[in-house]
Amino acid sequence: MRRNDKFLILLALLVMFLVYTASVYTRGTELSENNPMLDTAAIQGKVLWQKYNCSSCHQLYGLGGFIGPDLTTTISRKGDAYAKAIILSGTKRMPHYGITEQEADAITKFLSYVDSTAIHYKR
Amino acid sequence: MLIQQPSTISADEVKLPPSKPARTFPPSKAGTLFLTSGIVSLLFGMLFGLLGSVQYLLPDFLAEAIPFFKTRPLHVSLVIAWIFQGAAGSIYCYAPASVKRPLFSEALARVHWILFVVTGLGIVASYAFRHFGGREYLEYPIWFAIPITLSWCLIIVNYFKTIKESLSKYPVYIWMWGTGIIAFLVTYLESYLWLFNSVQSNTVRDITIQWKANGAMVGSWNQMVYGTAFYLMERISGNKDTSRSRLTFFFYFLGLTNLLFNWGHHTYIVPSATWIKNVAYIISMTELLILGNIIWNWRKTLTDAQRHFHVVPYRLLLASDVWIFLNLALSILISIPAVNFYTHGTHITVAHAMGATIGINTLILLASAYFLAITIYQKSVTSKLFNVGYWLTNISLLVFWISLLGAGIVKSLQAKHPFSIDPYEKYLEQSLIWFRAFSYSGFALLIGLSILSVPLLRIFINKIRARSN
Repeated sequence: MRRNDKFLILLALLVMFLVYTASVYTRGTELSENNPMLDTAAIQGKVLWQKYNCSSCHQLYGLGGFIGPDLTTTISRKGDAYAKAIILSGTKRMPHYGITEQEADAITKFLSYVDSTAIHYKR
Repeated sequence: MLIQQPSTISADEVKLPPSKPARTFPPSKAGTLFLTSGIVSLLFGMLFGLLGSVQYLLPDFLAEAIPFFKTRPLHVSLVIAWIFQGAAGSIYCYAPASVKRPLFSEALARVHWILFVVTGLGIVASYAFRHFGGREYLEYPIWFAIPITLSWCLIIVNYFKTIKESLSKYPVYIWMWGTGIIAFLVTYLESYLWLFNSVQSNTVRDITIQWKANGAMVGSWNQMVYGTAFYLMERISGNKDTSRSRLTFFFYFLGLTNLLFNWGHHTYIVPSATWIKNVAYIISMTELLILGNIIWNWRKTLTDAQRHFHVVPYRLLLASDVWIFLNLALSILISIPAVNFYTHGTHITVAHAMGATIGINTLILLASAYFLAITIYQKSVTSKLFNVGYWLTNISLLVFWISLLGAGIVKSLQAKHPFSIDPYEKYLEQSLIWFRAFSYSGFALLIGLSILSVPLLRIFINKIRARSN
């Protein structure tokens, strides 16, 4: 392989990667009816989800730990009240974090948003 | 019996043409520091992994002191830190001799090491005090990203200033180290795009970019680690043609293409655009060529094995070859959408991750550390002890890997789709036998890796002490 060929291949890959990345950031992941924009309360819930490191045990779309269940569709399967009760009281495996009612509401709201995007599993 | 390699492949061998005064390029001192702290990270990372696996069986085990939400990030962060320190250490040690130039700045490399270690200790402390950033794999508070990014910029400057001249004349491992180092910075910065509102408030975009960054980040460290494997093979075999051949460069570019574009197979279940998944599927299937190449070269691998089996680093590289084969086959299988639908979000994914980080990355990096200790520093290790560690590590890893696959298959069979395991506790009970096997083999794995790595620690610490005296 000639020296310049290697650089040309590298350059071509780089250009394709940039175009591809820009497309993923925009057209591939647009907001839509099935992917609504998170409101302030849901964003607050997301911040709390990260603060309590929920993803060390739970997954969203397969991203996270496996000792607890995937929570992507937990709201549509179990309901808000069930989710909130578990968040507040914990379980045999899940510690009681001392989460407040307000925080539990926000996390539940965030999970509802995530759930609303999981259209592949509701067909 | 002590193993000591012949001195025919020492660092002093690399010399400039005879007309000029002979110059040698000994391994960077910072490189040895990186490998030393990397091994410490590995041992602690494995220990926390073992604690986490026991917590699968006994939820109350150390639940107050170190609950699972602490053991897991400690395990993940420390093991990833090992891979980065092992890769950076290997690059600092071997890049100068590879290009026959001294390292651009030893001082810069040391600053990199100090920044990395201090940041690492800060991250461990933040986990201990329950301060999390809560992003998958990067679970530390976000401000730690600043020193990590800065420290990585130092290796970029040092590496490219060291190789200096035209990259094109160099062997494949110089390319792999270079692209790996750059790709890490890009993917690491990308993983923090969620700080922008347009990502933060868009669930599908955030999850997709998170998978994109994390998936490609794994590819970036693979480039650095596989580059090290190529370098070691060249030094062990003495054959300089392979790392410069057209075929090797073809597979290098194929690997790079996969790094850049195949991450999408993690997002088949995410409702992003279909073309993202189609691109990922097509690119992932090109890995069949890599798999085919391994099978095609199997006979040659066996011949090489007979010739070099007495060489300690080679034995570790040979074992990593077997793990590459197993993991690649698994990776291709779970990249098929119909299979991925059932395996995504199960322990099959974990098996793939563990097989790759331990069976491939860790064994190659240990080979690199052994090469440094035995061949370059001319130190010896006890062969009996090495054999025990070698076989214990590989056999226990195989049991560990199979037990994760077992737990994943139980989950796949139970679920209508990955999100609907109900009740989850029932699944955990049904998988208990697999989790037991995973915990026991994890314990054996910790012992095996300790046997392999503690002698290295002793050699490196003595070397560092001798230098500072």
